[in-house]
Amino acid sequence: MEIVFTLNGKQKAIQAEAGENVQVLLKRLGMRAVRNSDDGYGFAGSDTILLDGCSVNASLLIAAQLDGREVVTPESLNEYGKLSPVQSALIDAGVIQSGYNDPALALLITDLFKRSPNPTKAEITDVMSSIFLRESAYQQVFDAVDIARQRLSDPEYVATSVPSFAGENRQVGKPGGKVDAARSIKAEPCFVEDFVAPDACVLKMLRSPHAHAYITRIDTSEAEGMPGVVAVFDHRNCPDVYYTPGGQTAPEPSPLDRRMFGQKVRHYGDRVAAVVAETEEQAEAALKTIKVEYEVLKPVLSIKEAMAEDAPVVHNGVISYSVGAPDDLDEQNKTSDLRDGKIHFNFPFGGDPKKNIAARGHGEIGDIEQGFAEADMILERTYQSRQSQQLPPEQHLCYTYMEGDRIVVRAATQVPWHVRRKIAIVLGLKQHKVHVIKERLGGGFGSKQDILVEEVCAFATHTTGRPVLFRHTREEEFIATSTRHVAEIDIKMGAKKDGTITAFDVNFRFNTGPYGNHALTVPCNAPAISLPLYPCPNVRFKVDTYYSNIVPTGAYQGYGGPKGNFAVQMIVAEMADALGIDHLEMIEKNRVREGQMLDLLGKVGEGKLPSKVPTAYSCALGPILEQGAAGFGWGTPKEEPENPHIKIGRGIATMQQKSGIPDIDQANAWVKLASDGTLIVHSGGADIGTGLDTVVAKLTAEVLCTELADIHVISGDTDHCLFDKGAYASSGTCFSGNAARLAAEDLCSKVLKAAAHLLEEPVEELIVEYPGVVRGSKGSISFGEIAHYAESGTGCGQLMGQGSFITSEFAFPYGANFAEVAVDTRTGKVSLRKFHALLDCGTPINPELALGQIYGASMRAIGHTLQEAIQYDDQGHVVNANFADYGAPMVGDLPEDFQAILVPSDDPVGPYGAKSVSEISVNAAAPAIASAIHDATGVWVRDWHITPEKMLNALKEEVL
Amino acid sequence: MIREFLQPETLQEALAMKEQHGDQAVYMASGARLNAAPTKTDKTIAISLSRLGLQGIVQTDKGWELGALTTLQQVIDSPELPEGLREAAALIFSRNMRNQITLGGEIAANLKACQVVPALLAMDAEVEVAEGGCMTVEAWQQKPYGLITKVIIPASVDYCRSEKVVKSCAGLPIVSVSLAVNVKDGKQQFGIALAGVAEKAIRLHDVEALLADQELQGREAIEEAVGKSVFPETDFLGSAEYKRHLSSVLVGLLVEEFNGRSN
Repeated sequence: MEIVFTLNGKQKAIQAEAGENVQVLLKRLGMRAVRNSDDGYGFAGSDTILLDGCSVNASLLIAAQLDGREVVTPESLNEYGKLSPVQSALIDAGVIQSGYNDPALALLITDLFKRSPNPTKAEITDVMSSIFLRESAYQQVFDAVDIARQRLSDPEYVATSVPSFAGENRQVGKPGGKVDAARSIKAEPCFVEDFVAPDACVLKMLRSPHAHAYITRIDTSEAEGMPGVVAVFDHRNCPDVYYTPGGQTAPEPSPLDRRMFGQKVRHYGDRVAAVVAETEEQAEAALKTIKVEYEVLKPVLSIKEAMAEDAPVVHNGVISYSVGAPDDLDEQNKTSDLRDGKIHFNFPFGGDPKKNIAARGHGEIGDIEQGFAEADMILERTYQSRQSQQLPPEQHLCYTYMEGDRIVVRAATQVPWHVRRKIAIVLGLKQHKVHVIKERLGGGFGSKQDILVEEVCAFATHTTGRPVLFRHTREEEFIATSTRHVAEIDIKMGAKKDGTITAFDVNFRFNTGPYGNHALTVPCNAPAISLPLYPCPNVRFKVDTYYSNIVPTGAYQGYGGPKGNFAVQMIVAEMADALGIDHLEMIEKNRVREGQMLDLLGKVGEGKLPSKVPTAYSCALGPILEQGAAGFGWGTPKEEPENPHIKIGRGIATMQQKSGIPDIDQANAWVKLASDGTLIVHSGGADIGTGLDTVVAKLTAEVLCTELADIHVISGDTDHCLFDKGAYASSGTCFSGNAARLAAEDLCSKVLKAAAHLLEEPVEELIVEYPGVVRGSKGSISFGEIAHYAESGTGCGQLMGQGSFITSEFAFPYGANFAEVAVDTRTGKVSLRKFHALLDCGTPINPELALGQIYGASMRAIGHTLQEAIQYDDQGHVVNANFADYGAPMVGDLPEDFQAILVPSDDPVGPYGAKSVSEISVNAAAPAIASAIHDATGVWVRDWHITPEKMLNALKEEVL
Repeated sequence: MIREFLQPETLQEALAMKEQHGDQAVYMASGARLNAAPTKTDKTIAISLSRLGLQGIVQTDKGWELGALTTLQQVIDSPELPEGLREAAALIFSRNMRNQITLGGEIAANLKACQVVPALLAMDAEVEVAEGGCMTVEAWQQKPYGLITKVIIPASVDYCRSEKVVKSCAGLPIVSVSLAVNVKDGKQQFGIALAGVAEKAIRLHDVEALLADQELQGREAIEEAVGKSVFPETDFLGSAEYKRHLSSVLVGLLVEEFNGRSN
């Protein structure tokens, strides 16, 4: 039908099916900002438009409803070469990370100003009720609205709310300058979905309805003959290659236990078959015709079930090793079932698939028995936690096409080089035939460290020669990506009467689900990221990771940290309570201190042990606790609630993380001098919205004394940049940043050498000065003049610096969370009244982005603590695979008083004293909140997430 | 998928179109539910109500009369409306959704976890249908009939409050409860309705009667009576036992709060 409507002020007449989804329609009309995060559930607001002046979700409209109406999209805010006051305010306040949902947010706020020029906090909150902000998590939007309000009356208004650090530096530690923010807030082409050709084929996946089953028969013949169908793949015609989805440095410390399609399905939603067709509708229609018969097996749904003597074996395939095979391997393989396929270990790390064990680890320092003998009190506890989902606003997706005999992979990945390697392995190609382009990511949080869509998409293209898009639905995000592991932790702790901790003995049990990606490293990070917060001479730990048939797990921000830290922080809190010592005093007495050797970390590795015992070179935990307690009012009287059934309590927990993986990972960068003296950086780093490209630009500018505007960063492109391990393990600032710093320093020395030649002065007497000038005793010369000389017929050649960063040293960020809760003892509802997150990330290179990282990670952790978890029925089917049912946090879940505070230190390992900032802030919310709940009610809740029902049951048990 | 979108200009036209197309056609108010993935219609013909003039809020002798296409946000933005109705409209968390969801559409959708219907049930709200006549929302809900054109909030409504317990602010309520008090002939009549404890929102007439007869003295007695009147099922939101407990506690709280106000 013909539909006539007004789109951003211009009349539009189009032909469309009456029932065409308006989000799809507007995308088709070039409105990139009208995005789809939730497949028409009306939750995320990525598809926000104004319809006749009211904000609505485009996905909940059909084309015919637009006839005669006025539609306004976020594109209406765009003016070439300029930012609107709202757009610039969102950038200045630090709201913009990936920018996936932010154009919609800008539209909502702009609309708010039309209704209310001086909006109240309640009005701003009401506007944000429409939008899911998983990354910066709402809080900074209040600042942004205030900045925009002032800028609307004074366009020159400069925001002053973001703190500044690092003294005399021009760029590092100073607010502003996010290099990709303007593009993303204006929805210019930057995400994978923005580059998909109109004639691209679509890949859709048939997924298992069973948690554990063999495929006994599959018939795809009808699908193959359907209109528009290009190819159908299943276990019979895919590469017989085993790999791990985990995007880790090779040789991966994860079992290679994944085949593109297997004869055995190991989780609800596992891959059964893929259809590649010319349209999505054709692909979906073809999927429905595929006939599959299953031999359904008993699913393994918990650690306890996996450990049982008679447990079904999740991976009963043929086991092999690259090195270090056990002597009884042949014996183990006698009971293998060929339908289970194979399982390969690059090297031994404790895996015993016949017992459902994917990986194991252990370590010990001191004398554990002696430690407990010295204790006046010993506590033994078990703590548990559930499976949470990363919820990136942008689903996993990949777009692949051929360029000659090379395959181009446009990917939303955190690990472009690992993607290239794995695609080459799976497809049997050499790596130079694979070009991976990492586009901007609409949120990753670890989930896009795993190769979950890229290899099958690339295979489809390589097999058919056709461009192919594979994009997960939101349901597939819940049932077929990598989520946070389930954990059970037995911990025993000894302490003296004065609170001195004498011993820890910890048994970590993790549930990795159907595949073993990160099965060693996530669980081993549980002790590594928690126990060193309380350096104790006598520590023993054991890690066991079990296979099961829950939906897959893998990397999630914090890695094993949140799980391990919950147990360690909680037992310290319980011990303080048992000894009658103030919790904060107990922490202060036992906490890690600057300069301290962390002996335990010499016993925990990620596939190999550190080459030396790590040292906490910088640690601002002391000032954090002091400043935090004062700001939070730790020692002040608590408010007495009017209702007697409301109980108020306070809690605290500390946290740490790493800044990359020493001795395992590497980052590289080039910086080249363009002909006019400006700079182009080729960084291997993968900016996933966190501001890594800005870190790289600022470090380069700082070293070379140039304007930030004179630097362009190219990153994450395997053809045009050097190798980088990728964005994980909090490595961006320290590894990729240091690589850029080293490259800039290398270029600087070359610039000085060329300048010495031109100025006819010794290099030693020259200095680089702002703005891009070399000064000597006789005169000065600009970078532009030096570049001109270098590129001339008598020059030295274009000047370029290269930096490669590896290290054996650690840079540990530290922090603490203070929480105040109100527990409704009638309903069990826990409300967060106050949440203060203090963080030492060394020098915060991008302060407003660092604050955004803290707010976002804290809010995710709060969500995991109180409301988020994947839930199953007794057959292993996920029963809450959408945002609302899962419990995704929205602005109404924000703590009433929410503060992120940066407390700097100066670290010698990181560039300009910087340490990582992104992951650490998920590590302490759960124990801080659980401690506060105990303070309020006297009940220790040792199993999170803490739903109202779980809380109420805990209260009842306490009474009994 | 909707293949045909009909846009009648009068109620008579709309009724004729429905008569003509029968089960293949569905009335579409704003489409907030019919177009949404979890409740998507499988009909192929939509009869749009947008040109029928079903908007507008007026006060009459009967009470407040709201056009069926009045959105929840319009309810909230109308300070003259009873506070309890505005509060119920605000239970839907997303402003985008409130801008699209209509009162009539929400009654017609009749969803298990509908958050505004319990307040309408508790208030003894009525609907007017194009085919002629009025009926209570409760009667319509039990036996859907006709095209809703108007929702009427009785003038006798003296009080209405709603409470819910959720895991997350934008998630479905585990249990949602509304308490309304109508004053007729000088007598207080209680209306109690809940969502989340049955396939549809339900009203607790037996508990209301006990309250009216002052046979329930004290919160504990009210909670016990409510506990005996609801039969929820366990699902991912919570166990049957917890939902029953919440039903009791929330009704008890609301009655206690009302009594506190009255005293």
